[in-house]
Amino acid sequence: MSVAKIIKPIDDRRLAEEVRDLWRGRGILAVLIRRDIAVRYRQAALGILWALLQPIVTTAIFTIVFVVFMRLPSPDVPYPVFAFSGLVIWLYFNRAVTEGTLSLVTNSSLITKVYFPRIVVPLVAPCSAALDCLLGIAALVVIALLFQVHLQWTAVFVPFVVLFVGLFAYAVGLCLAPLQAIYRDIGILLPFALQIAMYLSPVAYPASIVPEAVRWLYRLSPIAVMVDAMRWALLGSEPPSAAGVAFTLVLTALLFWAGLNIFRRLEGTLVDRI
Amino acid sequence: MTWAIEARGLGKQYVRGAAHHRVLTLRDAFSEWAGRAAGKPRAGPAAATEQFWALKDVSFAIEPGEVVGIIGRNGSGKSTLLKIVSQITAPTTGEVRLNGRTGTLLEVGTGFHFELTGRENVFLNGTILGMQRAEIARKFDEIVAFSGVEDFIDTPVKRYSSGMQMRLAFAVAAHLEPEILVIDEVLAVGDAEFQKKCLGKMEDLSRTGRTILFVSHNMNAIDQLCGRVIWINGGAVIEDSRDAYAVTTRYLFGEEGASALKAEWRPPADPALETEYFALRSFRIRDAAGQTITRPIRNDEQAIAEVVLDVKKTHPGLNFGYSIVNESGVRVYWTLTTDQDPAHWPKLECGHSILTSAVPRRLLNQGLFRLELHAGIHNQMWFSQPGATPYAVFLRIAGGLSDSPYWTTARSGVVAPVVPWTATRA
Repeated sequence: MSVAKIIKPIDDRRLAEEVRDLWRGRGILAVLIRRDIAVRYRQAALGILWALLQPIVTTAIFTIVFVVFMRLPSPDVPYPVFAFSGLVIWLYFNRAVTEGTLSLVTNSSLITKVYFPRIVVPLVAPCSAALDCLLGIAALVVIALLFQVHLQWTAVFVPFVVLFVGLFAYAVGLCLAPLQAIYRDIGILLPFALQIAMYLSPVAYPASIVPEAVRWLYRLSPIAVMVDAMRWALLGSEPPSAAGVAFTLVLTALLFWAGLNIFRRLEGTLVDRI
Repeated sequence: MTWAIEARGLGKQYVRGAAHHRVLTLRDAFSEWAGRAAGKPRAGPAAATEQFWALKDVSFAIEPGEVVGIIGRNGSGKSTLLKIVSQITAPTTGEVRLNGRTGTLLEVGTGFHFELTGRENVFLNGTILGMQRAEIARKFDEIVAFSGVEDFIDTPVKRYSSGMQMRLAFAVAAHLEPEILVIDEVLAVGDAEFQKKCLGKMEDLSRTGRTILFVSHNMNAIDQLCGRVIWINGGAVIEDSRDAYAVTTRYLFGEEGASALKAEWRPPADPALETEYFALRSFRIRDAAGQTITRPIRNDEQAIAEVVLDVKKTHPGLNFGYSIVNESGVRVYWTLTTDQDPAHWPKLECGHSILTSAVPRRLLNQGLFRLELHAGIHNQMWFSQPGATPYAVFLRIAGGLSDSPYWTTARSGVVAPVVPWTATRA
């Protein structure tokens, strides 16, 4: 019956143990996700509708600014559908990365008092925020039908796009959460960096307005790839560039590798420095 | 032999100094890194810091089923040890092997969320403490019944009183069934009733063969529960003994106090007390049969304070007695030969005299007491002044506090008399 557990200095921990920890922590992960979702909407009068309000209002503003004021060349689908589909993915990524990065600090009262595999902590936000994202996608389907956009059979890939965005955000969270716990600069820098990333991605405007000479570079961006993938799957627009997909996959693998290493290096003594 | 807990060469290094007291920034880290890369000696915050070992080369092995108390002053390293054993922070050197499912209780209600209902918090807290969901579901009714908040179980915890929150949180913790339980001063919070409940639960657990590692400042609790005590000081184990009583005594009274911790004072082996009126032959605590009491006694056992004198010269104001001081330094009472009606004062005549006085039974609370000899001329002089006298003997009370099934452990309060109650038909 007895399970031998060995506690040793962080330098002696292997990467495989981190991955095994993730599996061991699945029970607590489920509980923390449920807590996150329950707490988020329990007290709000509009409840889960808040999840839809943000992309809807932002889409409305984007439409006014880019279409009415700036007369942006129309993309291949009606602009509100275009913007909403980009925003659903972008807002998910934004929240998963931001909350994932802050996760160790916000849960410090937990991790300083009891042990559970810490590696699940930055995964809570990508999972709980996915609920909002899926609701947003459901709303997107309705909006697309209202604008008489035909949905593609490739829509079956939409969950995989969401899953991938979540994994990417988790990889970023693994890198940044332990750093944020020690250096609070990350949390200050991150919203700014995310804002820049949004303006440099085809969330609010189509990639076609980017000068042709640098468009290939522009489309390497993982956010461009994710947003393009979403639009391709659901709305049948142009798929992400092959180079972009390849680059994003390599980058994801690198981020996971780096994140697991940073996490492994820092998780043991995090509590002493948080 | 498979140990339940085995620590080998555990060490934990912390950084103390300027950088420790302010929030580190990336800039500091970069400048330090840049400095090192350039081959410069460490500059900036690093130079102002100082590394120290909170724990150094700590080793011990605990058998399955042992209940081990960890004691030590604040800052001795015992909390660090606990955090390492419970895997909250990693050691710098060495390792710990845990053979068995381990549960940690460093506070009551870890992870409780105010917005969630009692029911949700039971599952949340239970999972965080290491229970499986199915296990919590199975024990759920029992947990709720134990907490006594049945009627509010679907109400958000923020509407609970702090007492209700505590009871619910403790009910969850009490239903943890790990093979190894690591407990910090959880008992420090809450009222006496709550602490007693905790101690009672821990006694139950220890009886079922669980291995318990228990950190506390409450020496009574340690004496009562632990078959072994590890004393940590300056980050090292300075004592590890199955004679818990001896260790806690040394801890409370110091090495000197402990060696002087005796039940009998008898010149010439001890410094003499000789005045123009009397010479002290002995001062001791004995039982009814005349044996000096050196072991802990129940509080309903008879203990007799005895002062043996050679009276050289009488004086109407000459009086003797003792005062009794508990571990916290509180004087519980004092008593003199001249406390009663003068008609009942013991008569001291020249020559060998023995003064005896029974220590009231069912009065003293659990713990260690120092009986300080009083000797003096009333209103004129002290020969042995309470609070400033070396003439002191020790008495340890353990158990026997009451015959009630409800009152089994030390009760809070300076004294623990059993005060009778009667009911009269109105």
